[in-house]
Amino acid sequence: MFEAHSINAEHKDLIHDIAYDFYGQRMATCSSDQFVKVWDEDEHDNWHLTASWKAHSGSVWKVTWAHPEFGQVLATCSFDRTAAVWEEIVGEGSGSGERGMRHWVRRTNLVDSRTSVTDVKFAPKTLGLLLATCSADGVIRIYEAPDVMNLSQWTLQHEISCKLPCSCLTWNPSLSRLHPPMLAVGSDDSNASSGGKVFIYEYSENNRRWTKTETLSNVVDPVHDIAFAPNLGRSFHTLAIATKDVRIVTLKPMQDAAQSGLSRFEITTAAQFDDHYCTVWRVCWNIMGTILASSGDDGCVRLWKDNYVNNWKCVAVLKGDGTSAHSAEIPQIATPPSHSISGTQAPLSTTRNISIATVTAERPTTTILSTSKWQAPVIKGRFSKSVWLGNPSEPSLPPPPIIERPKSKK
Amino acid sequence: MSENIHGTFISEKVSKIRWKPEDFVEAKSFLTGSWDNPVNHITYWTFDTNEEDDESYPVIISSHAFLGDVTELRFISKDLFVASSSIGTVQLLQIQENPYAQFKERLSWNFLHKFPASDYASCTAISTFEQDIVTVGEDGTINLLTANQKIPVRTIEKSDSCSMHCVDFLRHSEVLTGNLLGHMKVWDLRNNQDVPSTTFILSANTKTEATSLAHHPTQRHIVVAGGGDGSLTVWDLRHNTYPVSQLNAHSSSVSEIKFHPDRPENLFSCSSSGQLWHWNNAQNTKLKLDSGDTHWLNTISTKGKVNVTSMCATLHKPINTIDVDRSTLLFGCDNEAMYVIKNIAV
Amino acid sequence: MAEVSNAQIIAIPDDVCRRAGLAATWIGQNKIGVHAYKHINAHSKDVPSSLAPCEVKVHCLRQEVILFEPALRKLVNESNGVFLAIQKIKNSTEDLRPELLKYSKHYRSILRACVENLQDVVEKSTPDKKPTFENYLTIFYNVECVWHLTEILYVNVVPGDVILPQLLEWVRFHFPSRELMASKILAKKSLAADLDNVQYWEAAIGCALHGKLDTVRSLLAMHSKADNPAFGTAENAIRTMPVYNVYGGYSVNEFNMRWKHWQFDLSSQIESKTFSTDRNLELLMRLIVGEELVLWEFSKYTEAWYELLAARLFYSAPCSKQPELARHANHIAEKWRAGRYLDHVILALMESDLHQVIKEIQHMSDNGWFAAHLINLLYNCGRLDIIDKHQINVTSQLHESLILDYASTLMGHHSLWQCGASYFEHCPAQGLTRLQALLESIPLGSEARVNKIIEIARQKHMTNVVTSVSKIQGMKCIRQGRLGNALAWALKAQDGAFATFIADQFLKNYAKHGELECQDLLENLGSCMLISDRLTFLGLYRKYCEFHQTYGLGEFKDAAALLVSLLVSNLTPKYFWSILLTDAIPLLEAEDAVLSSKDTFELLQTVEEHGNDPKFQDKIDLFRLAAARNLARALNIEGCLGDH
Repeated sequence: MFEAHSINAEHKDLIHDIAYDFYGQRMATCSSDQFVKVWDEDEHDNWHLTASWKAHSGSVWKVTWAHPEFGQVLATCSFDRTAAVWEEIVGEGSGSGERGMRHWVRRTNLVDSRTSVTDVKFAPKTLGLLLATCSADGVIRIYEAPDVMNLSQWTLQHEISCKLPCSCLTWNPSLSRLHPPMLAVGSDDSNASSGGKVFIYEYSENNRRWTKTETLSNVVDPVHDIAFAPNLGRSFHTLAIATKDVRIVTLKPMQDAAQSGLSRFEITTAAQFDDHYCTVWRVCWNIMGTILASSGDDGCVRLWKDNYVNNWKCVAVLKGDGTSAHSAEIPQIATPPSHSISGTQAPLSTTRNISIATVTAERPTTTILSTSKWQAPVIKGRFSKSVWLGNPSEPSLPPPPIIERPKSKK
Repeated sequence: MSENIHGTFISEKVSKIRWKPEDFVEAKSFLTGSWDNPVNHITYWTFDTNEEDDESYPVIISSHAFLGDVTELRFISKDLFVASSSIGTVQLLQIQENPYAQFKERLSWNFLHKFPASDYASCTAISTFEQDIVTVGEDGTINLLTANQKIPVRTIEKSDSCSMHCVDFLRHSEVLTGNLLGHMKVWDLRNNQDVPSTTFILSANTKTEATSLAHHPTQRHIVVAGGGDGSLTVWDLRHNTYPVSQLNAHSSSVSEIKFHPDRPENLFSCSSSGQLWHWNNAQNTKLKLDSGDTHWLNTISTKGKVNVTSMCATLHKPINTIDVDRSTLLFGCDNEAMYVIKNIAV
Repeated sequence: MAEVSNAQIIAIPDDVCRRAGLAATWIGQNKIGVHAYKHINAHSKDVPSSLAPCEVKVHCLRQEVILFEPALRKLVNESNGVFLAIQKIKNSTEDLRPELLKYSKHYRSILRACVENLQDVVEKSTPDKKPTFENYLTIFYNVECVWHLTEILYVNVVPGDVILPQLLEWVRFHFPSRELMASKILAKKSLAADLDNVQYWEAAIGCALHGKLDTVRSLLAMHSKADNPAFGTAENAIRTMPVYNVYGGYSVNEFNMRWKHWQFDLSSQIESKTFSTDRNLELLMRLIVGEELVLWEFSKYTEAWYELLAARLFYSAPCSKQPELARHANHIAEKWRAGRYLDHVILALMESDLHQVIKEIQHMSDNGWFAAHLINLLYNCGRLDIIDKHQINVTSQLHESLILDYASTLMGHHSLWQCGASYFEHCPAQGLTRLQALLESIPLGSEARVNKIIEIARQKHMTNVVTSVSKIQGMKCIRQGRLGNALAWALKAQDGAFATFIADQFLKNYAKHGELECQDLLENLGSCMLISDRLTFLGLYRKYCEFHQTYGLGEFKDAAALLVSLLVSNLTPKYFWSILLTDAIPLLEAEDAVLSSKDTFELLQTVEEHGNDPKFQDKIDLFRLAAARNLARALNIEGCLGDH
């Protein structure tokens, strides 16, 4: 049921993080090999490597894209205790018409942390150009570029100490003005006695400070990843947590708490799955917030979907398979030449089509393939090659009104 | 009315539809161009008659892959046409019937429109005058081409600071262009300076783009422009650049305007709001020989003599293109269908 | 949460993934990027992993959507039109059923066309693609079959609620083979059809099972022994069989009496061996009289249990009403051991378990087309009442979620996104917010495409999408060095802040290079420049430059007046003061006094306030001197004028 496309990522070591841009047409990868690479997808689903550079002097943990309203901007964070902001520069008049290498320039290096920077995330665009980082020594930092067009100037706006080592953070993407800016941070501290490992911070416009408003006290095991779901017309926030299991927690703002300035939430665990049977490392939402992907120590990725009554179910399991006979590579299907001005195919295309084997389902699914013998139906009352437009009995519209505009005078 | 309308779903959004011209007889074949696919098509159609009910319906003669969206198709002779693309390429193609139907590329101006930094720019519109072709694009460049030479006759780079969206030959030596903000410019091609001879504005109080241009078939100085806000504006460019009338017509962007080639008292317009209108000046037909200088379009609004009829129920997707030959009108739509209306009253 | 998992397992053929484990990142809403992943935390040592060096791959997985197949895109587009038409009629108060029935038939005719088109495609396709298309054909054939029955049972208003005629019609429509057989035999006009055609009795009995009694009689008349009295009696019995017709003038009870009477006559004829001359004839008559055993014997001439169900109703319970259907259906299906996928759906339909029907049809592998369109039709018919396990009515949630899923799938397609977008506004709870998120994430491409995206956003009053898309477009233009077009987008979006930013770029470039770009655009801005103070300033400054360049005295005066008004306007950006003040020097030193004493005072005042710009320091003395001279000159002239 899936079509697949595989790319040789050309990293020398495992990839730690992948980020896709707003449109899903650009991909940034980062790795233990200290490199960041950027890939662009063409009209024919081929990915082309357009940039590759050594970004840090340690493993690069995370990579993330800024909203395209701010241009083509990436942020990375690393074991080397820094986070960096990168901008793509369009070469002027270089005449390089082909889909060649692009230049990425380091606009800033954020060196405030004394330990490994474990996560970096841009804030929702409505808040401006804001960047949050968290680090192993338990400090959350929020930076702002006051002039969104000048990416080399960042000011450290807030420094919040959360006491426990931080492993991950997520912004609440809610676009509603009703909610103050909100962040959730997870800690991978392994000491259960240190209490809850997920903290909610909210920004108060009145005293211009970030304050911890909630601690999820029922999550006491180390938390490795955390992600707010896009909030599309829901009255509550949804947070996915990767800990010893997959958790989906909802935070519903309480009505009466609004006056007190800081909102309190009714916190409910909407789902809790231990299907991975071991630690869960990563969680990721699709753009609608309808399907969650979780990666566990069992080497599987599981996809969870909720239905119309908010009942979550596993819909697919992906697992690595080194022995599959289906892994034979099929030569790339010829595609029309890429649309580059020079007309030549960029040499960097490393795309291959492979076939993905579908292993039998755990329970026979009820998908229908060929059940009943169908037979040639008799077709009546329909002209075969074309169709009638609309509904003949529908009265045609009255002529449109014509309104003259006042003639303007120069 | 709807019984005259025949739709065919073709699994591609239709960006352009054009009759293949015939001498002295009714046109019977046409081209469609598609957009928004990784690979688009220019398709050559004709009509076939069904024995059962004696209805004729469109059938494909041949279909040809095209890179980028088809942004314009224009015939310059019976079998030669120019096609422009959203990747800035313009091609001169010939329809060949023997030994099998195919398009033969006569000339190709690759990436004629492009941005300085590596990206291609869409060629948004072309206009033709005999063998001459003028192209405009999002890069603000005007190219003057001729059908028998590979090198552009003239290129006016940065002729406009904004992307241009429509172009029309006013006469052999003069073209009119319209841009993203509705700035209209007349370019005298005999003049070597790269500046327009006149600039005027589609609409003084809105910043809407000029989306489509058409001139009167016999009186080329009468020009109608469609706006991104659904308005139609009429100029008589002999006198001045002040519009003779401006109408709030469609409820959203006008996609294309077409005069009936033989009966210019009929005008057709379509819009992205899915409307297709027929503007007819029936009363004036009797007075046609009267005065050449007061054209009916001048009087649309003031005397209300013009009949405007909606030719079909409003479609739920944008109608992108129309073409008309004698009593048959074709239109193409974003619901991946094209339609034929027969026996239109002109 | 204890529901049985029926998740599919997908194996990624990548040994590194197998050894290290996997992580996944979503690309938009239905694509996913998968790569080998091994977790390490900040406390471990930063050393190469145990797998390095290795060939690291990223696998992009995309859900396969059969609806994107060109042959099926017709169905997608055409049905979208019907869907939207139905939402339009929804608001009128009259009984919608007749209208909805018409639309239901329209949907089916689209399905028919789709099935027919697929048949063409199958014929033309290469052997490797053939099974795929045959598969699609099966899917949509089944969809049509279920749709038809749903229409009969839930959309159509059956007079008197007697279900049989429609059911027969449905069965005949979907299993035409034996009727075709019969018409072939009849067309041969032979006098001994049974001897000439091996399938004679199969055709006759097949037609009898479908209640095509006229055909059966015609066939009997062509039998080699048609002259035999047995055949005559049979013909007479069949001809006189009462068939219930709601308009027939009889009540159900009266009809039943007549029918029972006729049945009694026939069974006594059978018992008296009237038909024993021909075994097949006798069996046929025993079927017609309603013998269950014979019915089952003839099940070999049927392809599905519901064919048999129709026959059973026809000969044993012709006046059955819809509520009784479930009992009959269950009986037959059970005895038939119906276990195919389609059987479940049809049985659920007959049992009026629409919740089950909807659940089943979601597995149709048609990417939700069927579920979304059918549920919408039933919803509008008011025939849907879905109660969840907590006894809460969740009909509208289910309805909305199915349409949202379908529409979101279409939004992921490069061309069908416009079609997908038109479903969302009919989902009151989450539709518009979802559309907004998806619309924003559609790749932009050419301006023509951008305009189409914006058009939809405008229609749905999503101002922030319009602003955001325009701004992204503007940013792209700036990156390409096209400030003019960027400004055009800022103006189209009415984005004052962005216009200010772009105007700044113009002014800064002027400060750097001494040349104002995009004169043609700035010249024609008109009232548009009022969108931002900075843009207004830019517009006025451009005008000043124009005056200044055309050296006539009149323009010089105008230029001076404009410059003064700019200086006092409070519109001047900080970085531009030195330029403005420098511009004023030649005016102060002009041969003829063009600045009045009042103007000069104003100039002196601004130089006090803003003259401390380092770039202006070398000119400040010059400025003061010129101002003082001009002041003297102007006062002198003004004084003279005052004297007169």
